[in-house]
Amino acid sequence: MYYAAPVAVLIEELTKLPSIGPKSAQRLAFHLLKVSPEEAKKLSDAIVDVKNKIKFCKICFNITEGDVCELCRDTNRDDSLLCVVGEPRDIIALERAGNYRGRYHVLEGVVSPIDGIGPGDLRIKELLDRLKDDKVREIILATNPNIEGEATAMYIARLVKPLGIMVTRIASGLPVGGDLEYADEVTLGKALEGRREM
Amino acid sequence: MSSHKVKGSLYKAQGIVLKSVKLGEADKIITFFTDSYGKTSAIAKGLRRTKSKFGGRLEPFTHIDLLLYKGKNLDIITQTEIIGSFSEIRKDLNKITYGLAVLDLVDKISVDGEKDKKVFEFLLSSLRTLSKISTNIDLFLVAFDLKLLYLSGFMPVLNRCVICDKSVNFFKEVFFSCGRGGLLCERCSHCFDCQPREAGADISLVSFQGVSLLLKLLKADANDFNEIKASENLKKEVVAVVQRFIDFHIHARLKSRECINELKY
Repeated sequence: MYYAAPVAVLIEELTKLPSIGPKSAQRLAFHLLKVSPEEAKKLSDAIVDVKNKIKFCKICFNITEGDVCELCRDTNRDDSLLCVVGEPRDIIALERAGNYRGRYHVLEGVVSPIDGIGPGDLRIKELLDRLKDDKVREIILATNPNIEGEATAMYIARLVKPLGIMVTRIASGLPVGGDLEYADEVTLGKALEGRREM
Repeated sequence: MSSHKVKGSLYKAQGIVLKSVKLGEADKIITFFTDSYGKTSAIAKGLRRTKSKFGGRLEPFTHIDLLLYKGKNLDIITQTEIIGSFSEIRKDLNKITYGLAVLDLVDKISVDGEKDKKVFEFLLSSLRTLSKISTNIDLFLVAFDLKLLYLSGFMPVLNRCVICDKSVNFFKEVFFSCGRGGLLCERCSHCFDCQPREAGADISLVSFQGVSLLLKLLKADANDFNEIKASENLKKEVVAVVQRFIDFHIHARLKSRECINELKY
């Protein structure tokens, strides 16, 4: 037994965090031992607060403080556009871009057969329920441009198209500021496929 | 074999990406099957960033040339160049689903660092077949399973009784046993001594058409898949027999197969 019991418990809990190994946990624990009680309380309160107050939005499954998230409550947004994303973090990225004014839907994951995650594990049924009131004219599939994201997008497109709703996929291609020379064949192929008239 | 090893701590290989797992902030651990080192995993630093130098080169199914740096634990991918991207598979949800089942089995059946050029060539040709075929994709998977089992030394005996050696042509009824590793004639299937004790319930009846379809699949190439005609029931039967055999011998859960029914159309 190298540590006093409370320190050992703290280190053990910190080790459970992503990317934190035993040595980093030890360093963090000793740092926390040094900070003032108020600072420590702030951190512990913040953790408890987040667990108590944050839930998933009833409509779009974004993270929110109330029952319905701010984006779903906003009356200035366009109800006819619905952007489907994998994780709440993706909404933040899209909102930062600033030029989308429609609604969102979070799937809480993507189809990943290797990990045994099928469409049944995602919020796809809830998505289809949202389409029933005929408000949505276009669905934008904004899952990641990797094999899991593509598979998810194709699966949803197959379900939604027969309903007569337009289904679009976000474009993939060259990143702004990048060099054509370094682009791989797959990305470049998609960039050419998605070219547009100027 | 270290013919591809470059002096110092960099080495080259050709591989097919099997899967990737997230690591830390923006990295991924990529597992591929290589021609000269068998199954290998290596870190792709910064892969998840949009401006990563790897771009789409390390997605599953991609056939790539690699330059790797020999690390302390895991190796690090330094350069990649695409040889074949199998875009036909990527465009079709059905092909993705069955293709991932193929990659998953190779991943589960092979051992890290065990070189097997035949498996590498076979995987490559199977992905080419998958790109080309338009029907019978479920039978393609059965054929792939059987041939990979053959290459890995698990091949079930499909032309005679594993116990008394009687040719299947003289059977009245055909039985299949995973534990015994193949067909049993009606007499041997009842013989208590012949049954492995722990696997008493392991023996099942199969149809003659099922056996002959399995034998046909062993020899099938891309064109054959588009021509084979089999009823849904017969397909279900051979899929189930081979799946049971794999589950019996491969001690790992093949999660990719559990999603097939949900995703296929």
